[in-house]
Amino acid sequence: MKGLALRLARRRWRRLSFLASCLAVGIAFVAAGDALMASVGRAVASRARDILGGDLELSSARPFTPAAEAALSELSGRGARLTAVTAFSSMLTAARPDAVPRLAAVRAVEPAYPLRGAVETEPPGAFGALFKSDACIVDEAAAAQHGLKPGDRVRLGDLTLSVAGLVTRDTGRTMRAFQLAPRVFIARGLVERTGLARFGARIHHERLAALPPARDPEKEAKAAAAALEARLADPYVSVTAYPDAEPTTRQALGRLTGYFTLTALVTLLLGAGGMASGMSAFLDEELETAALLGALGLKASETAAVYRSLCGMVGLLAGALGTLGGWLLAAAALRLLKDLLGLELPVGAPFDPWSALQALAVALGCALAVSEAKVRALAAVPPLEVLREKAERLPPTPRGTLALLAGAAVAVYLFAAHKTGSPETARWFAAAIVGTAAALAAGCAAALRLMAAAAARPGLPLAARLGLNSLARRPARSVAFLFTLAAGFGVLGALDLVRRSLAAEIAAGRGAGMPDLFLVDVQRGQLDGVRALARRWGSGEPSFAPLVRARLQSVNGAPLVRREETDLDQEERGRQRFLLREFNLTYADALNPSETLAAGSFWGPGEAEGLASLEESFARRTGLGLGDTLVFDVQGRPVPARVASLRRVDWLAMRPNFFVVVPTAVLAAAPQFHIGSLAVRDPVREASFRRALAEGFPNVSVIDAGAILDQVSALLRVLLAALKGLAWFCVAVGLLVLAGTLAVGQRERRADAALLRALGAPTRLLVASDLWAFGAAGAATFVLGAGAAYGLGAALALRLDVAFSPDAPGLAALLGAALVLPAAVGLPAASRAYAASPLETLRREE
Amino acid sequence: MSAPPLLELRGVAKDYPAPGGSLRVLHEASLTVAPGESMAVTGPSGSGKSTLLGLMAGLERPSAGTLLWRGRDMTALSEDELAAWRRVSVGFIFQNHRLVGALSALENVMLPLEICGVPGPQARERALGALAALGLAERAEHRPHQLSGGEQQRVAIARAYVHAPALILADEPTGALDGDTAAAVLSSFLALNAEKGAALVLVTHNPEVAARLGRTVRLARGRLA
Repeated sequence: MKGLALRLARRRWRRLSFLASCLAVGIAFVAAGDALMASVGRAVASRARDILGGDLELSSARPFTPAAEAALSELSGRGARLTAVTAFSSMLTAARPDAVPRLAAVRAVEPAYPLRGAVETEPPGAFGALFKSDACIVDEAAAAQHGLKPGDRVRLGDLTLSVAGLVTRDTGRTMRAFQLAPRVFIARGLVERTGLARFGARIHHERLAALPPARDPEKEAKAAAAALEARLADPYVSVTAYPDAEPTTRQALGRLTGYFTLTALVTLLLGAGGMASGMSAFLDEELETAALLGALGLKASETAAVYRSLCGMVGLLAGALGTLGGWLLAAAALRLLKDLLGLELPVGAPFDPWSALQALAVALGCALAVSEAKVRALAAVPPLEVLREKAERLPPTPRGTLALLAGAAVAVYLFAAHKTGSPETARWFAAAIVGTAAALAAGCAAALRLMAAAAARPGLPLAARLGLNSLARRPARSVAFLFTLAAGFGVLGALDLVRRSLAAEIAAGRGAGMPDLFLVDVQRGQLDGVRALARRWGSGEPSFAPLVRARLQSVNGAPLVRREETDLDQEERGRQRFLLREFNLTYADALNPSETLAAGSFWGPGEAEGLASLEESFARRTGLGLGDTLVFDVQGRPVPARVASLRRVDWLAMRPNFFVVVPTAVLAAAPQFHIGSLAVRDPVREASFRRALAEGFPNVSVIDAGAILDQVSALLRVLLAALKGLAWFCVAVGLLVLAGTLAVGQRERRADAALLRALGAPTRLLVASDLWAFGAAGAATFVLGAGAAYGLGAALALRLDVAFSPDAPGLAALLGAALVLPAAVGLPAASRAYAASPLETLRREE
Repeated sequence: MSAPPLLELRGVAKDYPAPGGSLRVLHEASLTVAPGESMAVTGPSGSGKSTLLGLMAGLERPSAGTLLWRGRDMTALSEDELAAWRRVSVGFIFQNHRLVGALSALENVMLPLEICGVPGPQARERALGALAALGLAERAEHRPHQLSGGEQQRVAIARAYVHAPALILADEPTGALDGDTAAAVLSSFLALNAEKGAALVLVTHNPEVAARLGRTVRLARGRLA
């Protein structure tokens, strides 16, 4: 049997290679995604120690308790090296009369800092100068903002410092675009003298530890962190082991991986769909050969084995091609990431045999699964029926098709869950895929019914009737053809709609009248003065809101307990992080203009009961809802609050907004400071405002929201360009499938063309009939693709928390390609049929 | 002066490319087909019968010689001119019916009329009449795969005659059918031909079939005997 399968494969290698290439594209994309993300993950992990500056970090917004200090001393007794860091934000001003104060992230360090990695400076050795005189070193961003060079002087709070050097490389520099404020290093001994460490200031206390050498340093660091956390049991102290450092980078990486994986999965599905439709037509055409094999004495099971072997060969070829393609694609993408994002990554994805085996297994499984029902039908058809020409095509296999679809839905769910580590994302993804596929299949069937009805209308030209009937009367093939194209364009359209919605959101954030400066650390007694300055230099009324720090103690009476993250899935990890982190609460008795009520009712002025209003997406992520009872720890005092409402917040309105709001009477007396926002939009007025603020209220920090938005939009531009590239990749697969479907129908098309010519039809009739067929296919693809794009786009936007603002003309322009593509690909392919000798073609068909 | 024959072949030859040169499959064939005449072309497999039929239908170009239709030289016509001639003057019946799978029996029979530009309702009426003449009125809306082999071939015969061509070319029209069916189909076919008065050239292996036609020409190794 093996020999026969090989001989058949050799005879049909072009067709089989093409079928394999459809699936290989999807496999390549999945393999590239795996290799790329694994490489980026390895790079982040290998640099995590340098990022943290040690193996362990203890951090707290409060000074460490004696218990924490004792635990650290014990760690030191076991051979660990320790160093302390004090971090805070403050305004930094060059010591020049016209200088404008700007926000800086200050790290006050000891000579031992960092315990891992190094701070490199220009001139070299400037770091040591911090501990010899009143000096600082600043990073390149600070130097550029303030026009600083070594030897210049700057003011930080009450101190004037000389700039000993510029930091060229320091710890924690992974993605420069994510840095909020420029960094300034000073000696820890200078903190008191700056006068910035007063009551209410946001000081962050850190201790870094370098553990003694161990065989498995990663495991050792995690174990030490877990032991410290358990011993301290202090909600105000967070302990981080270096493998868990940089959660933001990891979270961003995780999202990127998730998106990439899901896109790859869509590509894989399209490729598998294309291969399935091609395989189905191929097996239809094998009916005669299979019957002949049966007539020659091959048992049905043996015939099935021959064709299963052929399908298996297609799968293995697809796996091999996909693995190779994926490896090359990953290498190219790594280089692109390095160049575009400036990420320091090991360029070149190592070949991973395990991933290659996985790819082969997926491809083999796909190829066998999509063809199994047809193979069984092929083997089951009585040979005589075929040889007497009583059976010209394989019978439909509704049960097999249903089983395949159900299996595919389960496989999509399991694959997505495995790849994203998130059952919720997988559920959402599988539901979106199944829903879209069902809607598209129904749409394709409806389109074909419409075409059949149109073809039956009296008075329709012959070419139109022939063209429309050629689609409508071969529904199995036409549905596959339309479905794949509409799905490809639907995905492309959806990604483009979301991309445009994201761009629209960013543009809205940069609109006139939007606040562009944020004020932080405004003390209660300073509020009136700061508000007066903001009114004087800004345009429009500034917004201010109180901020009270708190931790969540319990939910519905159950105390919050930290669980080992390795035991949790992605959603649970996210929920735990959200619930255990420090909360910024505010109090108010009315919604502000950027808030709308989504559920429940908001209290009125004078409310004294412990109530809370949660931001809608925060409630969704944490699993909290109306009626839940929360208890916050505010400076050691329990504050109970029942969730009375959910709010929708327009974050891009750039007003001070919070996840949790409670009534004024509940928190008005708690320790607090205010944050504010204002629009200035004029560099000269902004400079005057900053100078006046630094003079009157030196502790108040100013964050330039406009600059942050610019940074975010620059980063998004790169990511969105990448998304668009991915989407076109999906369409390329769709085109490949289209070309394949046309090639599969070529034999029938040639026979029809030969017959029509034998009956005296001119070439223009053949061309016109094909134009009608391709035009109708294009129109159906356009309509179905647009519908799929809207549906998927809305679902994706909802999932990504993006306001969905569909751009109909943009979508129409994009999908315009769908209108002409079938004709553009189909007519050149059909031209061979027009040119072929009718007699020769008909003879071949005998 | 007598009227020219319907179709005349003068020294027509056909070569096909072959490894190492070309292969002549038909050698200087000369014959005439008179209006209303019926003729059988017989010969063993590979003797050039189908090639001769293809040349008569203008589906093949002769490598040498001339083909005349009512005295007019056809060899210089373009493909589209040949197609235009064929659509009016020739009806073709293939061994394996060659119906368009996507169309119903009625639509298949309407095809030659529609290609000739006959308006839809009229074409429909004539096609229904052609089907009824062959006992297929009830099967008009069936697709080819829903018909038996004999029915498929009768649809093909109806299609060949529906536009009343002067010449019918049939390439073993019953060769793919079983004995009884073949006999029944042939009887209907010949009766219809007699009624329509078209010239008929029929390729067959079967001497009994050949005997039912007006005359027989025999081909052997590409030469007319």
